Order: sequence, then structure tokens, then C-alpha cells
Amino acid sequence: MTSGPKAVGIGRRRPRIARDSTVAVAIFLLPAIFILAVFVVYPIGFTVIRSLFSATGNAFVGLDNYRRIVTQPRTLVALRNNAIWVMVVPIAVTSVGLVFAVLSERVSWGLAFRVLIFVPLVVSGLAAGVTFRFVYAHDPDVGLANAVVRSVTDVLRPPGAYAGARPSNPERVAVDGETFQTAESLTTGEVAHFGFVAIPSAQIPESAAAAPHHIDPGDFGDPDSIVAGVVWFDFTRGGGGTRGAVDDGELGLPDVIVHIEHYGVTVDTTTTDRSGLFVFDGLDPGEYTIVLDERSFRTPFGGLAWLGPGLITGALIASYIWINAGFALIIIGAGLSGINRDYIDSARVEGANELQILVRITIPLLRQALMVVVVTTTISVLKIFDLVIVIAPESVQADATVLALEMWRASFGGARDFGLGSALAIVLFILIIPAMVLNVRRFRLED
Amino acid sequence: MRNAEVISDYGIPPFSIGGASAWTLTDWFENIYLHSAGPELYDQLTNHEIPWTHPSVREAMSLFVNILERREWLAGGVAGTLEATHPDGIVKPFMSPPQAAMAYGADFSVGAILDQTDAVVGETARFFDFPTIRGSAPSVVGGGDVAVAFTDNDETRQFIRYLASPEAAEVWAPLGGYTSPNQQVDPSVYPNEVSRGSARALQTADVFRFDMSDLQPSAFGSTAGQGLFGLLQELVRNPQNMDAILERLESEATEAHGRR
Repeated sequence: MTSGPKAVGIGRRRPRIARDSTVAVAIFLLPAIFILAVFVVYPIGFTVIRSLFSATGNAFVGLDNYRRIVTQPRTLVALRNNAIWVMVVPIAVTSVGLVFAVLSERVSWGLAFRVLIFVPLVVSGLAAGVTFRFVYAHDPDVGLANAVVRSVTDVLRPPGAYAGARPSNPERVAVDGETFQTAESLTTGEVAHFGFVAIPSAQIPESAAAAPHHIDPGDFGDPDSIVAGVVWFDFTRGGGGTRGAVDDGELGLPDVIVHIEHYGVTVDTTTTDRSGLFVFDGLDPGEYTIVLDERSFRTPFGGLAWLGPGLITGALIASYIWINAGFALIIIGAGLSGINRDYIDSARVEGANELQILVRITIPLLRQALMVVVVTTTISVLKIFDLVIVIAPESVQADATVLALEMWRASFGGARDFGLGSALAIVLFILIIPAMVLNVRRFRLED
Repeated sequence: MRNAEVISDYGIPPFSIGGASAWTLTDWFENIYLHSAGPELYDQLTNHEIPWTHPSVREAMSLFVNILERREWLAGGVAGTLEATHPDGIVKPFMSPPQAAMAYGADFSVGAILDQTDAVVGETARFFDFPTIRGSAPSVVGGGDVAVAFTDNDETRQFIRYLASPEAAEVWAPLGGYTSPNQQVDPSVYPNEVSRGSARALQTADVFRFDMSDLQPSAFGSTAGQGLFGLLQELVRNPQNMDAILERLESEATEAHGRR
């Protein structure tokens, strides 16, 4: 990469060196050329040749490995993901860095702020990746991301006391989302039975008492004006007992909100007592439906699958930005401190607002620094590997995969297909060339 | 299955599967297949003499699907299963409060349980053999390490022979995580009930078969995200697509075996 400027330097000096010392120059250059040839040129050449051979290297296959790259679903996913990374990340990292850099100049604790944003960069990518795997864990008790989401959803939609419960007598209980109702309507004087299973014992309140074996509506007044029922945990330890019937020791579920409906219109609402019993009285004789309110059965927010196939690339990109915002901040911050303040001050005097100053004055003056960040980030994003392999569980790596990961997996991840691996390496190399050229040209300009 | 139903009714997911480590899934399938289809078909499938769409494979896979399609039976649900590695999955039954009731593991899994949880092997952690299916013979699927000698001389041979002997096993076994294939090894040398149980299962089994996925071309049997590994994870995600998945297994197996 640096051979360009070097050559220029030598050219400039040549007149001062005697002609017969070209030999000396060659001798001095030899070690560098040798190292370059052995460690850079030869591997590239060998990889190009190797990419034209089969997995084992025995057969010449021409461009077949390249054809596979653009036809196999897996490598196509890798190409697509690399495209997403390159389109999103350099711009995002630069924007975040720019905002942080401008902000850190305005706040009095700017230095502390810069240090804070910079810290992730000194952590190894692997360690940061492992940390993010926990951040994105599906279980909100483990994963920070889902814990944050849950703390919001719990307020908007508080989970029920008996979340996750299933009716034990499905033929008598109709399920509609998280509400349960009697499958057939009841006439006054009848009793509704709502047996439930799959309630972790910790969710059943201490106050729960044994559910009543037998309910006689007559006990509560005129049977013709009464509909009663019981909501209970239909589980006997060891799996004994009769499903759908209240057995000895089975507990009632207290505080379930119960509605009684008459042709879809709620007539009355009550809650179950300690033994899971509920009674509606003073009803007109007729047909009724009992509905258990979903508030008692709502399942808590289960967590977004950050590490699932749909969100994984977004989650990876977010973690990359978190790590590299510090790099952008430092480069852009340095550029910012080199700007002539007079431009900004005079713009302000002329009445430009902060946004106008940023877009019209700061960003154009920072063009150099912004380019450095964009180009460097593009190169590092094209060859992204560590975060993907560490954060993405094996089960979604086919969805999260990128070229560098595919290259490694094809060669060393079990398939041992060095032909395909080499071809992927060459594709990656070609993709990086434009960014490299930009970088080299920039070096020259700085000279 | 009936036990799983009871456990689930009680409010605990019966199964914990560390599905991010795909070999746990292939082991599940291999055990089901060896028990339901028997060793002859197991060998034929291993050598890809019968296709992955064979009725016996379909039947074994359906048995697995019976578990997978009951989302509430899986600790952590589908997402939790697919992001848990084997060590994550194996410890779930032993956490406080327990997050699952049963986990399938190998002899070396005991280490993770002892290291990461307060479980006492034999008291709060118990071992049972993979259940028989319709009265199948006691069968074991195992993986193993192979000692390879790079130098062919008397000393090397004697050393290899020693490694295979009961005496060597009695030195190694008490350290845990190791089961000797030598039938003369006294089960009492194993350090805990789980290791002893797996040793006993290995010694008394009528049928022993080597891990099928380990015997496949690696592109099909042991590469993350493709072949058996990728497609069994796909099965966890979409058990209703079993038929399509079996067909893709067959086509990937054909390609991988052909390339060998």
C-alpha cells in the first residue's frame, strides 16, 4: 500500500545519487522486496491459482468455484450481508462519530465523554462480542436488550399472575388468544369448571386454598338466579388425579377476573376467592357465557429474538457501531480542533442556526477526516469476521454469514474446500481494492 | 412422552436442548433412529445406502418432531433452544429455579453440570438411558477418540495397547468425563453415578453404533449451518416443514457423498 509514496520519494532524490550506486539502491531494496514477495505477492498468486482448482486441489475446474459463489444460496447470503454492512456501517459510524465529536466540544465534561465513547475500542473484538452475545440473549433475565424492552412492555401490558397456563379440559373451555371462556353456554343454576395446568408453582399465591370438590348453586341463594364456577390448578403431583375434575389437594386460583356475558354483552364481573370459586347471583334466568379475563393470563413479553435469523445482522451492526464510534470520534474530533473557528463564529454572527453551521460549514471543512473514517471503516467492515462468529449462535450463522466467515468456513470449518475458500478470498480482495486505491490516493495527497 | 406431558402440566418445560450446538440435535436423531429403526438400517443410512426420505427416517424424524412441535416443552422456547450451546442447555434442569426437567447429554456433560450448578450427582442430578422405542434392544450411540500412532515400533504398540486396557481406564476414569469402551473395566472406578450409568449402558448394550454424523462427509455431517447441522436446526425452527427438510437432507447428502 505504501509503495506508491516511497517510489515518489526515491525518484526525487535520484539526481543526488551517483549513477553507479543503482546497485546499492537495489541491495537496500532487496530485503523489502523479498519480504513483500514471500508474504504478500506469493500468497495472492497462489490463492488465485488455488481458486481455479477443486476442493482437494487435484482437478482444474476453471471458474467453477466463482460460479458457485454466485449461485449457492449460502455465499449469496454472504454477499448480500456484506453489501448491507458496507452500505450501512461506514455512513452510520461516521455520522455517530460526527455527532459525538460536535457534542463533546459543547459539553463541559467533553474529555470524559470522549474517553467513555472510546473505551469499547480498547476492548478486544472477541471480548466485546462475547459480551454482546449476553446483551442479546433471548431470556430477558439474561439479556440486557430484552430486559429494556420488557421493562417498557410490562408497564404497557402487565403480565398476568397465571401466565402460560393451559386449560386441562379443552373440550369445555374455548381459547381465544389469552382469554378463556366456556365452550358452551350455561343456563342459570349450572356450574362452570375451568381447570388449568402448566402453572409454575412459584406463580400460585401463598393464599391459595383447596378448590371445592362440589359446588351447589343452591348454597348461594335461588339457583335460578345463579351461575357459579371454579378456576383451579388441575394438577396432582406425580400426574395422578382425573383431568377436568377437582381432586384432593388441587388448589384454586385466587384473584382471576371473571366476566359473565349474555349474548356477547357483559352482565357482571367478579374475581375468584381463595379457593378459585366465583358466584354470580341476581341473574335473570337464561343462557350465559363465562369469560376469564386475559389480564390474569397474559404472558409476559418473551423477548425479541435478537439472535434469530431476522434481526441478527442488525444486532451485529449495532454492536459494531458501539465498538467503533470511539474511533470515528477521535479522528473527527482531531479534524474538528484543526478547523479555523472564524468560519463558524462569523456564520453564527450572520445568524446561521446550529444545523446550518454543521451542514454548511463544519462538514465541508471536515471532509478529509470524514473520508478517513469512511474508507477505513469500509475496509474493516468488508473483512468483518470476529463479531459474526462470536455473537451469532451456530444456528443463525447461515443467516448472518459474511464473505470472510464463508471463506474461513469453506476452507477450515469442516468442508475443507480450499478451492471455494480461495475463490472467496479473491472476491473479498477484489472488493477491497477500490477502498485501498482511495486510501493510497489520500496518502499521496497528504504528501 | 407421557412423563413429558405430566412435567409440562406441572409448569416446567420437560426438555432442554442446546440447539446452538447442532451435534446435540444430530445425537437426538441418531438415538431415536437407532432405537426405532434398528442397527441394520442405521448402518445403511450412515453409508447413505438408503435415502434420507426413507420411511424409517421419516418415522424417526416424526418422533422427534412430536417433541419439537410442542413449543412449550422446550426450555426457552424455539429462540432459547437455538441460542443455547450444549453447556448452556445441559445445565438448565439444575438451575434454581429449574428451567427444564430433562436434558440429553454425553459422559463429558457431567463436568458442565458440576462446574456450573450446585447439583449433586446422584441426588439432584440423575441419569437415565435413552428410552427404548417399542421395546427396542438396549442401544447406545457413541462418539470417541481414536489413538493414532505415528511411529510403528514395539514401544508405541505397547503404549497403545496399554491405553486400551482396563488398567489405563482405571487411572483415567476417576477423573471424570471419560467412558472406557473396554468391557472389563469395573464400573465402580467411575467418579459419580452419571458416569457409572453411562459406562453401564455402554457395557450392557446389545447394540453400539458410532455417532452417525461423525461418519458423514464433513460438509454434510459436521459443518455449521449446512447439511445435518443446519437442517436439524431448521427443523427446530419449522417442525411443520419436516418433509421438505428430509428432501433437502437427501439432496445435500447425495452431493456430499458424491464429492467424497
